[in-house]
Amino acid sequence: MKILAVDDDEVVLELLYETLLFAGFQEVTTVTSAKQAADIIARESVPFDCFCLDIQMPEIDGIDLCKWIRRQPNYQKTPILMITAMSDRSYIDRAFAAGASDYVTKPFDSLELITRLRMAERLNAESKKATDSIFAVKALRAQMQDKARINLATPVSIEGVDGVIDLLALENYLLQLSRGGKYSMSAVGFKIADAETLHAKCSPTEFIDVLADVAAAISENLKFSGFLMSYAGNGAFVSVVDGVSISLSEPEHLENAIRHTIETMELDLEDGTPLRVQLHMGAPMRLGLSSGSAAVNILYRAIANAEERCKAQFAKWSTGSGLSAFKILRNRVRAS
Amino acid sequence: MTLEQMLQSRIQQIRPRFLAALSERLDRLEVLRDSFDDTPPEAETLEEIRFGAHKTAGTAAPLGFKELGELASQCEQMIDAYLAGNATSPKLDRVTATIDDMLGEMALVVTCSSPD
Repeated sequence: MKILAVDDDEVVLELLYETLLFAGFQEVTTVTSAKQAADIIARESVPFDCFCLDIQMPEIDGIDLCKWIRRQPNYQKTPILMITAMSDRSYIDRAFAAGASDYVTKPFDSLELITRLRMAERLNAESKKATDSIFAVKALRAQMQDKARINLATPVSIEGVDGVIDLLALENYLLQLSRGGKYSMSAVGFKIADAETLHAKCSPTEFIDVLADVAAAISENLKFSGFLMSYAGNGAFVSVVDGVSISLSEPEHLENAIRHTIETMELDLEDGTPLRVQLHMGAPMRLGLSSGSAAVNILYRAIANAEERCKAQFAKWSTGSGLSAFKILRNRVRAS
Repeated sequence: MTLEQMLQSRIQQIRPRFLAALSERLDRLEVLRDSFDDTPPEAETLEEIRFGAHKTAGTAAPLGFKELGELASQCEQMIDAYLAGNATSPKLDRVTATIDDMLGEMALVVTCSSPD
């Protein structure tokens, strides 16, 4: 794996270099500024497979460098590890929002760093496989003739929406917060009702567009809170939100607001056929002082909450609640 | 020798360069510290001391200077809290004491450690 490490402290770069070399990573390049990093990235004919970035550097910091790297061709999915002594939550939030895929605090534990880089190496290998390359919206748009279906269960990447990061990055973000042991946030899940029908009805690009629109609607209504969110597959989204924000103290209000935003978008297929997309929100779950895998489990329970709410609403709908079978069918036809 | 010991052995070869950089950093931080013996420090002065603490905190422990790393980290956080300027910010004398603790440990490390 070809790695670029950026830190203005040469001792850190030496530590990193020795650790990575020892772990078998033979192709490690080190530079001491964001500008040098940008120059070398532009110059290299063979792209880097992974970046290790310090945050606090003179002139251009690691977070701005991360954002810049994400805008470059070939680097939208490349693992970016922030390796920094900045353990304050605001830096962690900013790093992941900028596109970082993992965050390791200094002084780093050598074995932990090596483990995380091995994970990055596996991710990198998977993302290079041909069938997974359709995750990028751009690649998909360029392959309009490609009839390959996206698996509904696959947590495809949603790009261009504020606060949205990949699911694995969200898990890593949560692990970082948990290690700090001093954060109190909530996880909340959202589920598109009858995602299977929507998935079947849409082309791959249309489906990703709908997911991006729904993500944008959620993001718009969470923007006054500190949050990050991911698409988890099967029409489900999950967000980690500042637990003291107003949004979560009035969950029904938030759910209705997001639904209203989606309605105003007037979603449709490329041929103009209107789409009715109904979103359900699960009960928020406090992260509290949970740590490690316990915190990540809460994330998945939040997704499960949203799925259960979705099923409960469907069950309520389909058992009648006073509706006749004819009215149920009529409603379904109108909805499609 | 275990694998971890082998890695540590290679990392320890970096100590002389760390100590050289630390010595230069200490000289600069002492000048900054002396500048507010009689008058309150400028924010820029504290920012620079904080940056020095930050850099030290990131590398001291892996090279065998755990206490220095902890003191540097405390110093960085203390200055951050002071510069935040809110109701819970520490008083200047606490900040100064933390800076002095870090500088004292730095001086000890520089003086007592010899290159391999």
